[in-house]
This record gives sequence, C-alpha cells and structure tokens, in this order.
Amino acid sequence: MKEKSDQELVKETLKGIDNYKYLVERYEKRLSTYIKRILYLNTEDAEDILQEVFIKAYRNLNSYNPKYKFSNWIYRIAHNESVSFLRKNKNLQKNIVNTEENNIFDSIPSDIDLEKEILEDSEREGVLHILQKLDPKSRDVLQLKYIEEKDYNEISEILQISSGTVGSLISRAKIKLKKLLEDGKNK
Amino acid sequence: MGKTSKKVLEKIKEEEIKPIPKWHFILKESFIWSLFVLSTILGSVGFGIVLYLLNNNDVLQDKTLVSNFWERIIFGIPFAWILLTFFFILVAYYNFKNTEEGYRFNVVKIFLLSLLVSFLIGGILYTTKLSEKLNNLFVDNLPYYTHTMDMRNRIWMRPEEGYLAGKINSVNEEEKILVLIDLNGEQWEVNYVDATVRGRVHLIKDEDIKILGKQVSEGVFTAEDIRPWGGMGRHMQESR
Repeated sequence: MKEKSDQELVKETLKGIDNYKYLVERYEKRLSTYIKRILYLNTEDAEDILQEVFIKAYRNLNSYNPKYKFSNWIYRIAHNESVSFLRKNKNLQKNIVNTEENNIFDSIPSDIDLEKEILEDSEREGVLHILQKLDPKSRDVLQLKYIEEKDYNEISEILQISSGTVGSLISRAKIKLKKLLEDGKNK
Repeated sequence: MGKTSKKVLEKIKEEEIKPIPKWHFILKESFIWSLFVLSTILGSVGFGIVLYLLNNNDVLQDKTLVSNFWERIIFGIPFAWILLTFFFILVAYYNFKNTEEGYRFNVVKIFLLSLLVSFLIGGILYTTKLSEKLNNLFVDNLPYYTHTMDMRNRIWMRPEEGYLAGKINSVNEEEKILVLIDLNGEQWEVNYVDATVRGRVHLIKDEDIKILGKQVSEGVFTAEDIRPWGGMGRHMQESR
C-alpha cells in the first residue's frame, strides 16, 4: 500500500477509512513543518491544526481532482486552515513580529543573494526569524517557493491564484525581505 | 500507525465523519457556472438595452425637450441600465473566478473577458433589435420601469407641456385624426391636419409614436410634429 501513488491512495481511502492512514503518514511531517513555519506555533498547537487539515481533507476527498497533484491539494487545505487560524487569533501575528528584537540580522552576510540565502539557510534560525517579520502573505509565498521548494504552478494551485500573481507576490516579498535585512544591518 | 494518523482516524470514526458525496461538488460547480452564464446573459441584455436607449433617445440631441444640461444628461443617459450592466458583469467575473479553474486566470484578463463577452452579445442583441423588444417588454410589464430605467417615457408623457407618446389605436385618414393609447394607457384623440409627419412614421395601427403639439382639452391633442418612438438623428428629421 505504501508504494501506491497519492491518487491510488485517495481511491483506496474512499473504499475504506483505514486506508487513509497511509496518506496521513505520507504527509503529516511535511504539513506539520509547513504549518509550524507559517504560524510559528509550538508542536501542540500545530498538531491540532494538522488534525483539522486531515479531517477536512477526508471530508472533501470527493472534491479532489486527480488531474492535479494531491500534495498541492492538501497543502491548499493546510494553507487555508492556517489562514483561518491566524484570522481567529489576530494577536498571534503581532506576537510573531514582536518576539524577536535581537541581533538575528548579524548572522546574515551583507552581500545578500536572497534566493541563495533562503535556500541554503532555510534550516538556520536567522532566516526563519527574519521571515517571521514579514506579513503572512509574503511569508507564505517565500516559504512555499524556497523552503517547500514548490514551483510557480504548484504555488498557484496551493494559494488559488494565477501564476502571474505568484510571480509578483514573490518579487514583492523578496523586496520586503531585502529591506528587512538591510534595515537590520543598519541598526 | 503514527500518532497523528491514529488520532485522525479515531476522530473520524468517533464522530462518524463521511466524505461529502461527489454530486455535492458537481452541483456546486454547476451552480457557479450557471450563475456565470446567467449573469453574462443579463450583462449582455443590459448592454444591448443601453445601446438601444442611447440610440433612441432624442433628449441628447434635441435641446428643446428639456430645460437644462443636467436634465439632458439625467434623462438622456440610461444610468440605471449602465450600473446594472456593470453589476452583472462583476457578478459574472466573480463567478468565473470561483470556478474550479478560475484562479488560474489573471484577474484583469477575466474581467476584460467578461466585459468583452457581454459587449459582443449585447451588440448582437442590439443589431437584431432583440434589445428593443426586451425593453418594450419591460416597459409593458415591470412597474416603475419607465421611472427608473427608460426615462424617455418621462420626457414624452407631459401632454400639458405639449409632449405625448403612445401606440396608435386607429387612424382616420380623411379627417386626419388618430386615436392614441398613451404610455399610461389613457386614450387620446389626436388631430394631425397641420402636423409634420417624420419619414419613418407610417401612421398605422399599433405603431409607436411620439408627438409634439398642444393639449386642447382632456383627451384631445393637436399634433404639430409626429416622430417615430424609436430612433433619433438625421433619418428621423426627414419629413414626408
């Protein structure tokens, strides 16, 4: 069962709920990391959201179109759940921005190649902390592009926006990030 | 089995959660597409009627019909239909954007496409005179239509000021008298002995006309100028 494709596992899940565990197991780690990175939550809160994501996915399984990647479909649900969590917990966003007032910028070299920086240092605290300071939209799009390594079409499917809009969101987010890095250096 | 999958499966079983049936999603998608088609049609009808009203309202050309510039604008331009047309185009755009594939398209392109489709179909409705027929249908059947959507009626239903419009009920060619049922359904006896009858007027039963003249008494009118209900500009000015 574990070798089956996502599409096949969806079919199997619709035949019997017990088969759903294979899909959950396949995506739980990736989605948990994604949710934690967007929302900067502790593992417990992220776990609650993750469960909701899988339950919502199961409930809407018949709306999944096998023409597209299942991973993008379930990332979309995770994205939507995270957005509605943020909406319900408006203070969280403020806290995210205010928590880090340290010298994280010092760890970033002055000669900045953003893409290289984010790609190579995605596991490093510095870049993740700076991403925290961005607005959720910019943060989300940069996470998907450079950390989750999704291409424009995949991001378009996840965020339900056109590829053109993805392009402009990424370039705007990069400008904001660059400004944050430069401001941090000048402090 | 992992911790998360165990919890998820337990919750699903415990709460007896079932996948929403496929037909539900098909129905939802069909509903959105139907709304898109319907609003595109309504937007097209709106645009067709805007074209018809703009091309058949002499208020914009004949300064004598109203007393000032603002009245010309208010009575000459079908603002209500223009607003309604844009509203339907916006609804069409919104529905298309919410279809399964709608997000893939650029927002501006979708809006321009909705606009273009409505203008194209609206243009066809106008040239085939369907928009005129629809407007007449609304005039006959929708209450307050002539007070909000087709302002021509308000201009041409002022008999005490010398403006009268309606449908010819009968014509006495020998005595040059016609019986007119005005836009409010009242009957008038119209004397047209000295009237200028414009080129496109045939003076036949069921013809829609508008008349410039004088009210003689209750239900009696003397025509000085008889014009076709529809149309304005050069062709209408030619007299027989």
